Order: sequence, then structure tokens, then C-alpha cells
Amino acid sequence: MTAIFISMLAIPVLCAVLVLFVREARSILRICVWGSVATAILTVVCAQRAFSTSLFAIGRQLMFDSLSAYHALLVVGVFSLSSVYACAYFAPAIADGSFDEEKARGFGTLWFLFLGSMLLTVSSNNAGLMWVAMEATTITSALLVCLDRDQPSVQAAWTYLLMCSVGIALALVGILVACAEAQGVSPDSSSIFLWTTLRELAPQLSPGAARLAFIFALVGFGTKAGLAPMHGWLPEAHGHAPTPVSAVLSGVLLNCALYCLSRFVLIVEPSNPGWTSHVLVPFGVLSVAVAAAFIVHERDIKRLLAFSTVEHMGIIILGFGFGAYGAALFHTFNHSICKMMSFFCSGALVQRYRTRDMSKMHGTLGHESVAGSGFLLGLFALIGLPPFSIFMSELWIARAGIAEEHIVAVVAFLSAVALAFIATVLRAVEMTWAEAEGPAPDGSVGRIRLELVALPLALLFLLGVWMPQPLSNMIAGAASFIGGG
Amino acid sequence: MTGYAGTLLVVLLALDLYMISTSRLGACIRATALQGVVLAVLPLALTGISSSTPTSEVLRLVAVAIATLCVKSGFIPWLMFRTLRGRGESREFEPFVSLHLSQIVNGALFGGAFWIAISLPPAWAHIHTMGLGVGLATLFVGLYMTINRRKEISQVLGFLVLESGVMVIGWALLRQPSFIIEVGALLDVLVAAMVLGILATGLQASPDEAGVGEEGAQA
Amino acid sequence: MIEYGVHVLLVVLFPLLMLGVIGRVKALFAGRQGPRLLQPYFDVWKLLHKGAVYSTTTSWTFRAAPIVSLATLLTAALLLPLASGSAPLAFSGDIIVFAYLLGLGRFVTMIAALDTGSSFEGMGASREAAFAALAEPALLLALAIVCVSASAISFHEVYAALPWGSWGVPHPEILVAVVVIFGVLLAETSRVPVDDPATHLELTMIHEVMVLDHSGPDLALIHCGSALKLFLFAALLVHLLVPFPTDSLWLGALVLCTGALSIAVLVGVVESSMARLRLVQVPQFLVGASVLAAIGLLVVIVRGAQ
Repeated sequence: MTAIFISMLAIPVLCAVLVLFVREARSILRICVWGSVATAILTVVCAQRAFSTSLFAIGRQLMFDSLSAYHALLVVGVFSLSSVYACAYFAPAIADGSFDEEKARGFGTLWFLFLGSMLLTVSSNNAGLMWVAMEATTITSALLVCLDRDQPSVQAAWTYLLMCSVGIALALVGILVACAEAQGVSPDSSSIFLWTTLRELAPQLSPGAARLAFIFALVGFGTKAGLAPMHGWLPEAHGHAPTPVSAVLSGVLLNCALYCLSRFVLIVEPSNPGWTSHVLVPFGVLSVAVAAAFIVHERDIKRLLAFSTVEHMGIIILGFGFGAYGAALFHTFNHSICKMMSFFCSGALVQRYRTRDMSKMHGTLGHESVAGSGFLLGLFALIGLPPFSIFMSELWIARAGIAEEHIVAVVAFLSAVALAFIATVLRAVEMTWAEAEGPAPDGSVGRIRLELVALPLALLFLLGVWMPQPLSNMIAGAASFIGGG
Repeated sequence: MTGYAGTLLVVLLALDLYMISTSRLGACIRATALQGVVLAVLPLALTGISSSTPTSEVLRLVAVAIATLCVKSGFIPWLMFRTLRGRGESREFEPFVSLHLSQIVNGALFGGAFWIAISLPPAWAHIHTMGLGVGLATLFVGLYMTINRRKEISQVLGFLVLESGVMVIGWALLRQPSFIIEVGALLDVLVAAMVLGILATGLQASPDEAGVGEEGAQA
Repeated sequence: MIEYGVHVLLVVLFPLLMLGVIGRVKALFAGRQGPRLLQPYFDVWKLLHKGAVYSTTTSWTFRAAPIVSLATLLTAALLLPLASGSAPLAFSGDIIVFAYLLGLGRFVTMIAALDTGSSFEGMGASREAAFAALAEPALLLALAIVCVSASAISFHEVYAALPWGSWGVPHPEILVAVVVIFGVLLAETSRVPVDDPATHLELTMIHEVMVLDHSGPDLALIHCGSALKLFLFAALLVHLLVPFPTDSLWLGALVLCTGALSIAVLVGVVESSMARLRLVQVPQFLVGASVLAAIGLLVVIVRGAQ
């Protein structure tokens, strides 16, 4: 079992090296698909074991428990589907020569290193190692964002790199404070950097120190997760990146940042019961409100999706703040699936209409039915329309908020969501059913496989009406790691 | 050794103040190099070398000091000077908060950092309070510089200062130095990557973004 | 009794020598041989024998100003310990009186400049007022560092309680105070980088333009006053930097003279190697000195709370 665990982490690295020796761009993209699928299979095997008992490796430096497994499954799932999409997305660029061998090699290597570092983040027991892996994700994803090498994407990548590195440095201070406090509590322990040790020592930590550590970690990892007011890099980076990269960024990278934050919640809760909600709820409400405000005026299709990501991150943080960890994790799952699919469809639409301005796209249902209808339904799901599952998770979170008597926060949250709802519906209607103005766009580009759209939509629809028992158990198992036994 | 550690920490703070009040990029880079020297010597001053420390420990500390010196005071400033020459820049545009006001803001940041360091609970008696205060102050100053400056090189300089602050906090808080070294090395790698990125991609702060125009010439 | 005699002797005879040393150092840097070391004495002697010319727009303020400013400086000199650990006049709070006597002297000079009714002197007075307003907090904060760390407000108590670390190295906050006081020295005695004392361009003058109208014995008194101010600051710095031998009077006087001369050499070096700051950058320099002093004060407070 340990061997499978280690190979799950090693395969992305090996594939990254392998890509360097391959010649054709198309083959590289195919290797991306197969590599991601292979990693996914191994992850599923490890996850199955992890939900019953935790896995450890390399002398407890690596760990795979329910929370890690949950997030890892999301990571490999989104990565695999995005690799499949990338083949179709880059096809026009390969045809006209702009996606040449060198660029493809760069893309492939960074893609796998990105996957590997995200898997390492969720499976490291050593807080320092986790931090290093998060740093690696920042670097690799920043390089992926500026793959096109045009001025806006380079600028966006620079802002992303700088802001997230600053955030990561602050998060490091949080980790240092927590570990120093642990060292002060039990000076002879040699493994203070391990999450397992920190969890054991959590009740003995002094409240003040734990609070200081949490604040630094919240600001630091919150910057990486795109919480307002540190979200400035997100619309730029997610908007200017190539679409498969945007899908992965919005879908799972932010989840990894929230994963790190949830490890911190675990440590701070025992010594400061109920205090974390005082800090988390304002950030959540602010994120949702700011995102809704910006969605109202947004015309760029990918930036709209990016702001929607900020909104949903805010909702997940609200879930953490209200103590409904299971709801937040369920929302994470729903959001990842939905956002990924929406980005796929938006990428296809952008390629087809050759513009990112939504006011210039008209009659999408008619011209390109798969992408257009997929995008419409994706938007509806994102803004919380039943019977999609995002509605269920938002309802769950709101109920928890009312139960915890955070009435003001819930009211603000629901109003902001309503605002986003109205704005998005107006845009979607305009895009889908308005009369087409210019000549019809070229039908040969911007194709998207039906499975990529239908599968996620079906899953969202299914989860919206019925929660299968295995998933419910997985969520409960993972949530127990955050909320303390 | 406390006297020397105290002196080094005060020198670090004075360099922060200098960096925040100058608009000459070359002077800023040299101040960063000086900070690198201070950071290299600081662990030696904090942990202290006496006749009873084992030789291996001494060798390790000295090796780490030399490595820090080479990277922070040698390689990274050299890289930055190359980038400056490549882009032909020498001065920063007037930052968002003027240089005069920045000094007072700096003083306030120092005060805040020291206040946090003093008001920590007494269970922290084993840590070096002044080191923590100086580390936090340097971190805040680095953050301020990153936000306040318009040119990318200055933003990277701010990030370097922030990283120095994090390292000082690490030295002040923890007794095991090994982890800090690796982390510091990685942050340095990141900085080098950033600078190379600026050099390679020719990132330009366009005049409209930088606000040259009605705000006049460089500071 | 002998102590007081030595003190007065130092105050009267020594300061002009410092001006000579500075002039010599600057000349050496410029590759010239320079004036003789005792030249300032000869200058003062020459001025005392000349007649004074008074403008018809001036009043008694103008005639009284040089005398009052020198008087305040001499009184301040009586408060500051020079050759030994204590001064002829010592009481609790004399540090603050010292700072304000210096301020009084400057105020009187500014009033005299305004009294001439000429716009040039007025410009000089306003510039001097602006920079003094910024230099004063720096000086007071630096003195506060020393006072708080010694928990006393009188010079002799402070000097007696100065903390000396291992190997005679003073604590970092004292070093900060020394650096700040050196900066204030440059500002108060109108040296480069704050003001160029050798400039002849009225638009770049700050201190020189204030005293432009004085002549004869008045100008001699003003020269003595500015030299005395330089000497007082130098004495302050020497006492803070060097562990002073308090037992022997002559050894103390020797240490003081050597230290003051080295500070004069340092001032000369600084003047020769730096350019004068642009006028808008001088506030930055002074505010920076204040913030640096505030840092030192914070360090002292942290030390105390630790």
C-alpha cells in the first residue's frame, strides 16, 4: 500500500520528465491525459484505503487521511477531465502552428509538476513540506498562466506570482508561530512540524498564540484562495490563462489553499472554541459581497467565472465559519465540478466567437449547441438554481448559519447571492437567446466533446436530488478531521 | 552574545528605514545586500558560540552563514543589477504614498510590530522578544513596500525584505535552525525566479499604469 | 574648583580649534593645503577689532541677538559635563533645559534676521525654522533614549548609568542615539548634507543668510557661538560613545579633546564626501532621523518590558 501511495506522487514527476523527450505536440497532450488518468487510478486505490484508516509513508512525513483523500480525488478528477479538454482546446493552435513543440513541452512539464505539487500538498504530514508544495504550485501555475507570452497574461502572471508569494510567506509565519508554540508546550518533542503532533498538542496551546498563528494563516492562505480583500490577482490570472489552466486553477488549486486553512482550523479550535467563526465569517461575507458587486458589471466571460469563483470561495469559508464543515466540503465538490465544466464551455465559446466579451456573443444555443447550452446550464448551476447540487449545499450552509445565530451574515450572504443571480441570468439570457448580429461564427473551431459537458451536469443534477450514501460517508469522514472528533 | 544580536537587529531596522525612504533603486539593492550580511551573521549571534559547542555544530553554523552570504549578498543583488542595467532604470517613480509620509508610516509599523511582540502571553518566555519584534517589523515593512511601489524591481525588493523578516521570525521563534535554512533557500530561489522572469519577459510598467504624467518626473 | 576652571577654559578656548580642523580636512580632501589650524582664532580677533555697521531698519533686537545667543550657548555649556562626569550646573531635568537653551539661541537669531526687514534674511529664517522644527523631535527622542535607558533626567546621572555591554561596546540603542545626534549635529551646525556653510549663493543658504547682516564684533560673537554649538554636540557624542574615566580630571580633558577633534575630522570627511541634499529632501533626512530615534526608543522599551 505504501508503494502505491508513493507511486501516486511519483508518477506526475516521472511524466513531467518524460514529456521533455517527446517530439510532437499532440503526443504530449495525449501523455497528459494518460498520465493524469494513471495518477487518478492510483489515487482512487489509496483513497479507498484512506477512508477506513489513514495511510502513512516515509516515516510519517507523508500522510493520507480522509480529508486528504477527499481533496486528492477532486484534484485528479478535475485534472484528468481538463487534460482531455486540453487536447481539443489546443487543436486549432496546433493546426496554425502557434502551439509548437517547445510550448507543448513547457505546458506538459508544468502541467505534471502542477499536478504533483498539488497532490504533495494534500498528502504531506509535515507542515513545512506542505508549505513548500504550495509554493511549488504557485510557481508552476504562474508559469502556466503566462504560457501565451502576450502582455496581459504576463502582467497577470506577475501579479499572481507576487501576491500569492506574499501570501505564502505570511502563511509561513503562521506555521512558524504554531510550531513554536507547540515546541514551547512540549520542548522535547522532535516532530513538532507534523500535523499529527500538532493535532495532539492542540488543546494545550495557549489561546493567544493559536489566534496569532491562525490570523497569519488566514491572511496568507486566504490570499492564495482568493478571499476578498486579497482577491485582486484572481480575475486577472484566471481570466488570461489558457482555458484548461483556468479550469484547474479555479477548480482545485483554491481548494488546496482551503485544505491548508482547514488544517489550521483543526489546531486552533480546541484552545479557542468558537473564535474562528468570528474571523472566518466576515471574510466569507466580504468575499461574497465583493464578488457579487463585480459580477454585475462584468462583460468578460472568463472574468465573470473568476468572480463567481471568489463568491463560492466565500461561501465555503462561510461554511467553515458556521461550523458546517460537511456542507463546506460538499460545496467544494460541487463547485469544482461545475466551474470546470463552465470553463470548458466558455473556452469553446471564446474560440468560436474569437472574443471574450459576452455582449458580442449572441444566440449561442443555435450556433454551437453543446458549448452554449452547457455554459447556460453551468451558469444556472453556479448561481444556485435547483435542482442542481450547488443549491443544496448553499441551503445546507445557510441552515447551519441560522442554527448558529449568525443572522446578519446569512442575510448578507443570501442577498449577495441573489444579486449575482440576477446579474448572471440577465447576461445568460442575452447571450443565449438574443438575436445574432454579425455573420455566424466559424463552426469548425470550438468543438467540445459532449461527454465533457454532459457528465458533470448529470452528476450535479444527481447530487441535487439524491445524496448517495458513499459520498455522504466520505464527506462526514473528511469533516470529522476538521471539526475535531 | 545578546549585545551583538541586539545591535544586528537594530541595524536591520535602520536598513528597513533607509530602504523605505529612498527612491534610488541601486541604493535599495545595496541595502538589501547589507541586510543579507546581517542575516548571515544573526544566527551566530543568537545561538552563540562558546567553547562548549561541538565542532560539528560550529561548522554547520558557519557553513550556513557563508551560504546565506553568497546567495543574499552576492548572487541576488548581482542578478538585480543586471536586470536594472538591462532595462535602463535607475530610479523609482513616486510611490502611491509619498516617501516623506512613508517614513512616518514605517515608524507606526515598527510600533505595531513591537506591540505585538511585547503583548504575547508569558508562555513565550523562551523566545527572543526583540528578535520577534524586529522580524515582524521587517515583515510589515516588506509588505508595505510591495504594495506601495510601482516598479516590479521595487516590488521584488519589498518581497526580499518580507522574506528577511520571515527568516528573523523563524530564528527568534524556533530552536532548530535546520528547517529555517531550507525554507529561506527556497524563498531565495523564488526571488531569483522572479527577477529572471522580469529580465526575460521584459515586463514593463507602462507609463499610464505607473502614473507618470501629472505626477511629474521621478522622485 | 579646579574642575570648574578646566571646564571654563575648555569652553572658551577649544571650540574654534574644531572649526580649524574641519577646514583643514576639507582642504586636504580637495587636494589643497588649506588654512592654518588656528585660523579661526585670528579671524575672530580681526573681527573684534573692526567696527560694526547697523542698518537703519533694525532695532535693539538686532544688536542684542548675537549677545543673547552666545549667552544661551555659554549657559548650556555650563550644564553639559565636559572633562569630568558632572557639570558646574547640575539639577534634575537639565537635559531638557539644555535642549531648550539651544532652541532659545536659535530663536533669537531668527528674530534678528526678521528684524532686518530684508526678504533674504526672512527666507533664511523661515527655512531655519522649518528644519529646526523637524530636528528638535529627533534630538529630544535621541536624548529620551538615553534618559529612559538610564532612568534619569540629569546629565551626570545619565552618564553614570550608561550601560556598557561586553568588551566595552555600548548597547545598540545608545548607538542609535549617537547616530541620530550626529545627524542633528549636522543639521544644527549647518553642515553638509543639510546646508553648505561655504556657499555664496543666496538661494542655497539657510544659516548663512540669517547672519548676513551682522558685522564686526557681532559677527565674531556669532562665529564663537556656532563653534561652541559644534563643540557641545561633540562633547555629548564623546560622552555617549566612550567609557569616560571619571577619576582623573586631566585624563578626562584629554579624552574629551581627542574625541571632539576626531568628531571634527569626521564632520570634515562627511562634508567632503557627500553632496548637499536638495531642499525638499532635507525634511526626509530629519524625519528619518526622528523615526530612527523612535526605533531606538522602542528597543529600550522592549528591553525594559522583557
